Amino acid sequence: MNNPFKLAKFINNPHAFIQQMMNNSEIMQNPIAKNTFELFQKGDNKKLEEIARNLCSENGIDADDALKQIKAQFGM
Amino acid sequence: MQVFPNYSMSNMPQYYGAPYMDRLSNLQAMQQQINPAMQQMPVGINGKMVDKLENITANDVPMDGSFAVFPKRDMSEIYIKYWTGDGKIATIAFKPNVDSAPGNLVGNENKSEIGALLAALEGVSGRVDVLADKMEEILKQKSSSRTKREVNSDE
Repeated sequence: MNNPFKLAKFINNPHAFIQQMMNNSEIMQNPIAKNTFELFQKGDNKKLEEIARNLCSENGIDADDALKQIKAQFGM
Repeated sequence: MQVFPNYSMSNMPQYYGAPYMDRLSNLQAMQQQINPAMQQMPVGINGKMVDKLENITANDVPMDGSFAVFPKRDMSEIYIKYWTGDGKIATIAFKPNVDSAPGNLVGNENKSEIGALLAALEGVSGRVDVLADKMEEILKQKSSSRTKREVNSDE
């Protein structure tokens, strides 16, 4: 989410944002995006975390280090 | 006496319609003509030649639901990779059948059947030759017995 407006929209109403994304056929061709949105709607955070960790490992990124960096950026 | 320029309506240039909008609509029409032509272009296959499996990175695999093909440079294997829904990359490896030579339309199974047929034909032709030899002998014997009878009858 490089667009700050989209990020703000997501923070305000994530469910509506996700629904809008699911209506985008180009985004839904991505199997990861499709599965992620469906799991988000179901509220399955465990599987969402598993997907995130798998993505990180496929790209050679340590998921825990990445999470620490994100938290540091937000001052958490 | 000062002469003031006459800015009457008749001197003003007459614009019929909106020329800027006409040009814009023309450009849009041209763009629409180009875009369908571009969309009709054939889509290629994602992938690249690789030296080994480890040279393939996650960025090489498309995330639009399609797969990418990675043939090895020595053609010993071909890898198909695609993203799954759980965030992992699935890999399928194809190995060529080295026994069958390219261009050889006959498979191994057909070769064995044809070989068996040829062997059977050879056997049959051998038996036919034997039968022909026997028939010749019989005919010779008959002809020799006829000549003996004719000689005996003359006497």
